Amino acid sequence: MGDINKPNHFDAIVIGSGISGGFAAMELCTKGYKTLVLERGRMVKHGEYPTAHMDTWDLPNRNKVSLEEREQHFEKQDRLNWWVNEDNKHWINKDDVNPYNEDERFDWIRGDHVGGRSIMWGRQCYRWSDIDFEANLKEGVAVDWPIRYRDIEPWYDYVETFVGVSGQAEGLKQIPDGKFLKPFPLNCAEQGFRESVANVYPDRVVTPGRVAHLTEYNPEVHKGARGQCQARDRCWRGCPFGAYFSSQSATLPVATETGNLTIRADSVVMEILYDATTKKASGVKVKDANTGEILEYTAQIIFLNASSVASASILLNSRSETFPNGLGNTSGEIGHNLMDHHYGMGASGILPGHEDDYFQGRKPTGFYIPRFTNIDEESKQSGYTRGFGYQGSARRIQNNPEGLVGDALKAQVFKPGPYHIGMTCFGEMLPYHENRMYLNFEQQDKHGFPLITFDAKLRENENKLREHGVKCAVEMLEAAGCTNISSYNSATAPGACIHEMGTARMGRDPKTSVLNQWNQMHDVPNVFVTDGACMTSSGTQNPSITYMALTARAVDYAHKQIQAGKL
Amino acid sequence: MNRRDILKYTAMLTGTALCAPLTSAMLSGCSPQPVVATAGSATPNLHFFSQDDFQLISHIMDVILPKTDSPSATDVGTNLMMDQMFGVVFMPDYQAKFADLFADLRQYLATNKFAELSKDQQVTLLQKLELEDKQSKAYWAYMDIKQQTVAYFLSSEQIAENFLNYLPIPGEYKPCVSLAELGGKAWAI
Repeated sequence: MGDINKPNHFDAIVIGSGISGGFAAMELCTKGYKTLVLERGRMVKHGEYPTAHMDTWDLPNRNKVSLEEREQHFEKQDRLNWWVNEDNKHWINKDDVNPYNEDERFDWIRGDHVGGRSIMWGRQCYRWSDIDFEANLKEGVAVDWPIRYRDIEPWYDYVETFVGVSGQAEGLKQIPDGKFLKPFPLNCAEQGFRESVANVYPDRVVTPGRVAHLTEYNPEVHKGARGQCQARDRCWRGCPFGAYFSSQSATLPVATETGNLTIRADSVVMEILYDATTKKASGVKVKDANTGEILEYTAQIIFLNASSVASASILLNSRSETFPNGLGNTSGEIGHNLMDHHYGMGASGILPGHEDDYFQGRKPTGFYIPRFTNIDEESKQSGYTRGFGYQGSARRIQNNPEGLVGDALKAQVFKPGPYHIGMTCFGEMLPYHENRMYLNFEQQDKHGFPLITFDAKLRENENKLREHGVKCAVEMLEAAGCTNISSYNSATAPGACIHEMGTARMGRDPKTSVLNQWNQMHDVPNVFVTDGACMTSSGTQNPSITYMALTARAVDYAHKQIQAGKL
Repeated sequence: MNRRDILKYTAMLTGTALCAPLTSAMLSGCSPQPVVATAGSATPNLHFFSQDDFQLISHIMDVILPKTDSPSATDVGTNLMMDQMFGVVFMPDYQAKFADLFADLRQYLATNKFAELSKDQQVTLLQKLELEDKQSKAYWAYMDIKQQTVAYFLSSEQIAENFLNYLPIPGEYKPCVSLAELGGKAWAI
């Protein structure tokens, strides 16, 4: 379908090569569209994972990055102090060359390279339910989602099958079961914890984390460069076995095989070009990150998947006579309703017993406790709306018994210590119009792009929810008979959970939303936004699998519209 | 430094603070650089400690984990690793706090003539500090050294590969196995 007479013309352009951009590219290419993927960062091919096989003693400073390097390059990226390490720092943007502004602190943690954060994502996959899709409408918060679970359910089935999600069916209404490969089972201590919690709190379910790892590799289904999980738990370095889902291991290889894919790395999209005559986007303006050369590419349809904040920034910078405030921004909502999940709260303790119970291998997940408050009338809370879930694990810590020194300690130190249970609470954040990012046109980055500026914070509902999340965590550890229980509640800034979303929300009304029920811009029908920007509320679930499902659904819709001559 | 700070730093070293799934990479622990100079060397290149303090810390570490049928703490470079971590990685406020606490520990050991005691008496003195002098500044300095000693020891290549269960590519995850069947030893990573 591509016009060979115009080398810069494609059937489709995908902006961004991360988890949703890769998926869009694969879906478009397999449907026969000559597709150009534009990635602002450098090329990374599957297998180019320099630290993948290193032991900790092969890395400097027991894997911690030096203070000097952190201060020079990672002042914002390392605010959490566990994120930037020697084994993954090459996947993380340097703040000094990728600046942004903050009216309120925002930890915008990202990596510019082919594959984006699909390389170092947390790989947790939980379906949304109608509890999430109906929440805004029921509570009169923000705007209603234009879709319900039945609209996305077949697309969850579709993407989960390809991605390969390991997990355990539980029949829970708040996180519907999916197409699961066998789970990474709870270890003995975690299983004991599950049972203790269930005895006291039947509505709190400790289930194996649902993760995008191939526990049952099937080459017929898991196409690309995939393979069986080896239980190394070195995932965020990039997996040479292709055992977890990433753009490198899955979508981009499949897209490449079609012969329809062109990837251009080092390509900074400056704006999407609008043709007032056709009332459609005509293409994109790109700056080559290395040469500074300005290029233009045209296409019939454009998928914007640069990640929530970057996608919104491209729209806001795409100003024309028709759209002086940014492409498709007649609602004025682009950049607003910025959300993330928030954490920095939880509890931990020592679980006595299980002395002879050990595990073998390093599973790339632990347990998950799905949301259990405000999911029905019985669980309704008076102090806050929405809810929270937990991720945690039980592992044996180093054996360093109190009061042992010398030969006595030496006799103990090679044995594993007791089981330590840690659980972190992840809370929902409401969509507030006041929480936003915007462009500061007075300041520009090295590419001449206006500086992205953040103005978002947690508010009353989030803070009340946090207190209950900590209390419930302690209750569960107590129910399991844990000792040395400690809890913490130190609110993270928005962005820190790396689930930023909401900046070009879906909705039913073009006056109050940017995208329709097909992730299609109300104002510009050949532009689709299917990354986190589209989210109308944040839920408590880790969002990537939902972005993938919405992406596949949107490509299917666009394809049918094109076939019907409507697009 | 209060107990919370100690716990925080200890957690960072031992990987017991699981604040998100991504922290799993931290669980693999800590390790020193290849040892080019040991406690026995005349003047190792130091990042943080004075030569005198380094010698004292090395001494304390080898009382905590002496040479038996396995190497001592400083045989695998725990002292150099601690110096490197303080000098290269740790934040200035932690450096200052530790320096303050360590001054008290040095005084405590001098008062009790640590250097002149027999090996058994040195063990007894440190045990007494750990069990009976809790909350003193010397106690917190000692506990920090002890935690770091154990952490760097267990995550050194020599100990990990030779004295613990080391399986770089497990192949699969087994949720429940008998510790006895694993020789009673911890996993190295």
